[in-house]
Amino acid sequence: MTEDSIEVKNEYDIISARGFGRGIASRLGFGVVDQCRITTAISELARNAVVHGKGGTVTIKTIQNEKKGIEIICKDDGPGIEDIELALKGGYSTVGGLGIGLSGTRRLMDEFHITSGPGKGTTVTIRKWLN
Amino acid sequence: MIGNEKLLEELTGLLEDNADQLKNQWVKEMTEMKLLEKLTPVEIEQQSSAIYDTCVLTIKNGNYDAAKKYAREMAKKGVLEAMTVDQIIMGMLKLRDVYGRFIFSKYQQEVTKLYKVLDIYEPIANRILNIVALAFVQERERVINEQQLAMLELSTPVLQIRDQILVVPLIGTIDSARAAQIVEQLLNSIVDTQASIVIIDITGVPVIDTAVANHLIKTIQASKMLGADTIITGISPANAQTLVSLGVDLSMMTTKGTLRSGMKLADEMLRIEIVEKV
Repeated sequence: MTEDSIEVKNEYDIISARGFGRGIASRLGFGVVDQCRITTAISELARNAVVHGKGGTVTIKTIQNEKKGIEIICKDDGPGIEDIELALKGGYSTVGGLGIGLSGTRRLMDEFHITSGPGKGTTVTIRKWLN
Repeated sequence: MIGNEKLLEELTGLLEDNADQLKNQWVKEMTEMKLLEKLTPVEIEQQSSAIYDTCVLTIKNGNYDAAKKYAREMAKKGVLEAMTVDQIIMGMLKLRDVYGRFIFSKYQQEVTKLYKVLDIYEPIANRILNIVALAFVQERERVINEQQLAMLELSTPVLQIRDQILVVPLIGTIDSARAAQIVEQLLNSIVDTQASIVIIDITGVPVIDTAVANHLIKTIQASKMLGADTIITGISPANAQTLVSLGVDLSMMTTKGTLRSGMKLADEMLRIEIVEKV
């Protein structure tokens, strides 16, 4: 099992985090399209942490049980999300973005868990399984 | 009991009176450590004197400005170009040792006084080393920032390939700063060239997330306001599938698989306009 954490504070950290994720996804045997999905999902979460959470950490793990896959945990200690359902609905942004980062990330991956609340920061865990 | 000021005066007096001896000792030890191999004897003399004097001055008046200025110059101009950062820091640490040992030898008979002198000397010596190390880090950061700016300018050419067609080949990562710069450059070019069609080729953009899509959409909207239609080309099959899953609505965009087919479409679009006018 590989596990590594990258601190994300700015745009350049986002690039290294998703580059790192793409490398792991490729070594695990994910196809080009899934690699692209995973890389983009990491990019979305890492950017959320940078833009909304004023920085956070991206942890990338390989899962090698009977099911193989990749797990990404993106955590920040920012102000948290007040209305998770609204944030997940799509089309809602507090910073003039498209507002589909979270909902889109959920569609890109097989599993999506989020814990967040005002003052509690945000932790998003996503998984993609290798078929 | 002697006050701290008196002690400081005594210490700097000792460092000044024994300057030649201590400096020679310092240079000798640095030479033994092979830190000065690429410097000429004149350079060694000049630099070691300047650094020695600056340090004594700093200890004497507790003002770090001279040390900061000297360290900045050292980092910036590379006065010590012939030395690596590693060698310079080792050299400065050595000077700290030389001073330290000298203090020990002078006050070894009076332990209480020795401690007091060290209490004065150590924070100053540490701070000087901190200043030197920081100067190098800041200089590196300055260079990196400059290079980033230079890359920003290099990386976004807007090319006029027909009277009314502009091509913008995007390569690499599109962050907010770059996106803003691209939009500005493109809009100016549209006004300058009176272009009516812009082809943005993103073959060289590895990841198209919602932020990049958002930048593209805003660029298209701004171009539209200046009367130019945009064709996006070069979305890879993997990126296309990812964008669909993400839920990015590209229906308002004209897209083509390759730059070639994008140019063909642009030509067709222009020809239709000409026909309509006649």
